[in-house]
Amino acid sequence: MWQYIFRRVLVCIPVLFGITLLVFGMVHLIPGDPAATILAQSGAKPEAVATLRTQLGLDLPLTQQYANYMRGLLRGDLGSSLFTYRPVTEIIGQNMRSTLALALDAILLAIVLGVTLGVLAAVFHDSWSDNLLMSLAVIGVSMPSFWLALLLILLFSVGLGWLPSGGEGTWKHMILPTLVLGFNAAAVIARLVRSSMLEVLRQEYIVTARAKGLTETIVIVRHALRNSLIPVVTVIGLQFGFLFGGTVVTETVFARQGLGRVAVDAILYKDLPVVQGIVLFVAVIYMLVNLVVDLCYAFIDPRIRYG
Amino acid sequence: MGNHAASPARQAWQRLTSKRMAMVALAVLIVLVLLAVFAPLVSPYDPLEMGTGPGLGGPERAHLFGTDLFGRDVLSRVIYGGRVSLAVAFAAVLFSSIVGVILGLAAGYYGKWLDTVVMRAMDMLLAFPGIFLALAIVSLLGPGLNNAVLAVGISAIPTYTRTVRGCVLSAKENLYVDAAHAVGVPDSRIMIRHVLPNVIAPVIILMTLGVAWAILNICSLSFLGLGTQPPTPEWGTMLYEGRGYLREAWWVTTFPGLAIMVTVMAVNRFGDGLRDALDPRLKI
Amino acid sequence: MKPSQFALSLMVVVLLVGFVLSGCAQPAPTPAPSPTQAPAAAPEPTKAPEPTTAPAPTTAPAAAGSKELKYGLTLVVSGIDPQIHSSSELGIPLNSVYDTLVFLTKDYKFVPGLAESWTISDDLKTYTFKLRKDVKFHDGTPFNAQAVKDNFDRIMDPATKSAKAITLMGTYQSSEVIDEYTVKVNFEKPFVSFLDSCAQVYLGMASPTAFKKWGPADYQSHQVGTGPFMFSETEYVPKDTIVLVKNPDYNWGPSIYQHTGPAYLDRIVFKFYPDAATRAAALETGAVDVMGELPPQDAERLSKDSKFQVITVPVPGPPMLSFINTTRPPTDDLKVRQALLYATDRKGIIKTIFRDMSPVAYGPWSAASMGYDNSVEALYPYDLNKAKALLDEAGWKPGPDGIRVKDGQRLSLETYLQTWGFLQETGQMLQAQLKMAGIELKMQTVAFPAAVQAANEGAHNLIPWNLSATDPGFLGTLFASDGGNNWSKVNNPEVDKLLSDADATRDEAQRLELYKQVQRMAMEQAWVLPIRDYTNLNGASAAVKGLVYDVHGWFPYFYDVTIEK
Repeated sequence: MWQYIFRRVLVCIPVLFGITLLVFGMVHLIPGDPAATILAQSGAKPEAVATLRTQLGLDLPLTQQYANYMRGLLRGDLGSSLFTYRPVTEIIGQNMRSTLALALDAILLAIVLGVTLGVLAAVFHDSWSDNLLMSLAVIGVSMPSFWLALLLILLFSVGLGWLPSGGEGTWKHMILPTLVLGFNAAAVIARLVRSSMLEVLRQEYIVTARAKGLTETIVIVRHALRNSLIPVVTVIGLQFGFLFGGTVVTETVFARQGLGRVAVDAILYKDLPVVQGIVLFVAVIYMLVNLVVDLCYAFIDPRIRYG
Repeated sequence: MGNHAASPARQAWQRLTSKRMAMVALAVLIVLVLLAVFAPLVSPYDPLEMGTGPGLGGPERAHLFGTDLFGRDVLSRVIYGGRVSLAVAFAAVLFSSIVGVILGLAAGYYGKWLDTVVMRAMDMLLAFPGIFLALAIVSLLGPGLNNAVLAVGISAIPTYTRTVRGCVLSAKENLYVDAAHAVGVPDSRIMIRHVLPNVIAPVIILMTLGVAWAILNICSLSFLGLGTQPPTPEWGTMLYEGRGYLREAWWVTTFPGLAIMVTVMAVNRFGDGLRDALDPRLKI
Repeated sequence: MKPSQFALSLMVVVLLVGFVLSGCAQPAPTPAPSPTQAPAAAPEPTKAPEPTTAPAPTTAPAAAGSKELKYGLTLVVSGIDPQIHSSSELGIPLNSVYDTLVFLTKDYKFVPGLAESWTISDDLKTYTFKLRKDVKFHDGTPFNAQAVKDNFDRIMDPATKSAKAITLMGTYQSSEVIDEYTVKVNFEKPFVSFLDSCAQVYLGMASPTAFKKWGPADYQSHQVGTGPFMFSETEYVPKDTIVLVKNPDYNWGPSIYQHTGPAYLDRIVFKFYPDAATRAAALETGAVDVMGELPPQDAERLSKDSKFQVITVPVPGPPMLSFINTTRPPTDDLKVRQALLYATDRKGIIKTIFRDMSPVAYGPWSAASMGYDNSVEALYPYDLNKAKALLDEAGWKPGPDGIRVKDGQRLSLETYLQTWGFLQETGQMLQAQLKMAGIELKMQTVAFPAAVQAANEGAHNLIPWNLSATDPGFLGTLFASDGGNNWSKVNNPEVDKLLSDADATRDEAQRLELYKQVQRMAMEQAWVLPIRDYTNLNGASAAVKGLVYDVHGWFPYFYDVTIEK
């Protein structure tokens, strides 16, 4: 199996390389000049702008800029922000905790909530609880997350005063953002688990298991659930990617300083080193998650073996 | 054809129409589309006209959904907003499905290095969180409807490509494809007659659910201020504009928000029904 | 271990790590027990207090426990080193970390700060400062003439890459240390507004020991000044938290402060709230005690609530205005530009968007600023008929859809909006108003860098912007033919002469008179479309007392602030 992992990791490298090229090209094509942007509010003259451009290394030919960047990258140096002059590695390090914590909590919530509700809905198939749960799920999938965020703040924070309206620090600060972020993913997972389980419950081996006299719980948990989880695990992997996008909105509304918000600002202001750094970081994590997901297949379905 | 049993398409249709939820959802969707199409006839005011009522006036008889900051009628803006939101969503889905299907067919059918290239490209796209990609594209090309369509459309391509490729791969297993190939049937014919029919069902489902996803994505872009441009009414932009006034004018955000939700719910419900009807075994 | 078990354990470990991370995300800013200052040492003024109406230290820190103020900022895009970066937001916390050589009173007079006295040569090329002798930096380094020289040299050093401070240094040549507490600053050309520059936080005096030790990029995380508060380097989280701690040795404040000795507050914690819609909520839930830049509708609501107060601060400098591109048709025609001014109902805009919490702006310089020319107020009242008449005169006749046409061209203007500062809302109202006169305004919302580029290239007919400054010399940046913010693309020798004359004039009254002429000319030629004077709407809990803002309008003085608990 280690061979399999090694091969997978190897394949990632050209993809990452391609990503750096893509990001580099795109950010450079965005209209605007970072030097002029930095100096815009101070009314500096064109000579000053030109000087700053040179100092930031922006007037070198593009190929050279890219080469310099890649050389730095291989040394582990991701460059510095064009606006704050802080090293990108430091920016990512400081903001990563917030975003990762939020994303992980959200996905945890999504898995726990989604799987539980999905199983319940499947077991009580076609009853009123099934309909209720599925309606809830559809709402979850259909609601714009920032609207949900604003409504929750209005209700729990300003209205009832139970929870803080933003910021970070305690577990209380995590509740609303996690809910907002995880709600959508939970709904997707719930729906999928339900349909998957319904399919599995119709299979013959389930009937056999029941006939053998196994209790309903064991039937569901040991046999049905395991087999219905494969597509669910795929979706979990995909959702992780969406979650990172979702953190942008959540972080803005809840005044959390995380990678999503930093990345958006960086894109809007053409802060190339920061954009590159964050995109690469997210891509690496995404690939890791996918790898883990693929390995989980082996656990869930004994027929699958790697290497 | 001379069969007594109904064709698979017929059967699917019968299954679909028998599901009450899906039919209700379809009806809702048809109403929404009609409202959008006949907006000029249906809406009580010009959505761009300021001062038709008091600024941030509440719902009342003359303004069922109230007015916004500039005294524009919210109901009219929601109706016209449907035009924009739905049109952009449909366009985006059309774009991503066509491109995705073509890429997926090519990758799956021709295999080898084409397959590798396409799939690595898809991996690259997927590794980009959707909103960053959309943001980058909009920053690149400038704001506006067309570019929003592009931005949202591009991030959805990998889903279609992967699914179609998977279907093509399993269709290729079938003996009759090999046989047709051996006999000398041109590739394009094989693809159209034997492979494509297997692909249609999952793609239709993806497209239906994709509309919902596209609507939500446009709204997120507008929330960051780079979706549609004011004063064009669009549900996401209305949420963005109204969110500073949540405390004193709840109607400015609630009605567009409800519109989004109802539309997306209807699309999802219909999509569910469609999926169940087309092939209950599909686990997309 | 079987591969499948390995996979499962990996997954569990990842999830567990996530839980742990979230549990101890950021250490909650627990008010640290006050360090060395014994709470018993109440800051009794050791010499006769000058303004006797000082808020009597009713909250003399005899009470145990530390006094902490939580302040909500908006967003800093750049770094936070005042000598390098240009964001005005950074000044809010750092204004209390650094002292400046001079301070500016509300009447625009300069009073001694770190400099006890100063002389300016008649040719305005040499400034000599005599410094206070009792000042120490927070790290113990003594403050003296050498420190001043080091600071100025640092700003001018290309390796520092200063974006804003360097533009305040004029044609700086050198500084000379005359004796330990006397420093002479030399300029190549006459520089009339150097004192104004010296009063700004961007020229605040930093400890040379500190910035030489850390270098330009890292110093911002370890800032050391002489001010009433110290920068807590251990608690600084970029773009997330800034913490200031009382400087127990502080005793050299300017006369604008209401007491002497250390400040009353023990700690100030700054957090960032980029989303305007949620700022009021943070204030109302008590997450912050003061929130800067509230949207007008929230400010209006909170002003009626006795638990809160709204501190309205007029901001001097250029008002919120649109530059009108004089080189791009159809705005290259004076009549068209004037028609724009007559067709704009500023009062309507201010009422709808700003809840009447801003004064109307009539010229390129706001009413609260030094050197305001009030003759511009009469020039362009809202008069739709006059606007239409002007356009008729200019040959623009109403077309079939109401938009005017001339020689087959529609009267169509392009403008670029941005998502901050109410530019989009104002743009929409402007569009509707101009339509009534038959002018079509095409709007595009772009990101900041693209807007800068459009402005610099002159791709616009109108481009609205928010800029700030205090000295009317800033009008040069706006209207001189080589001005850096000359986005109306003005190239007028007469105004160039007025501006250079003003730069060389020693007599303050005469200088201001020249700037007034510039304002008048700007409006007669309709170079800008002013909308409103800025007022900064700060919300605070009613328990916060003594919070005042400096004459620049943005920066609070925390020195005299107390919280009633």
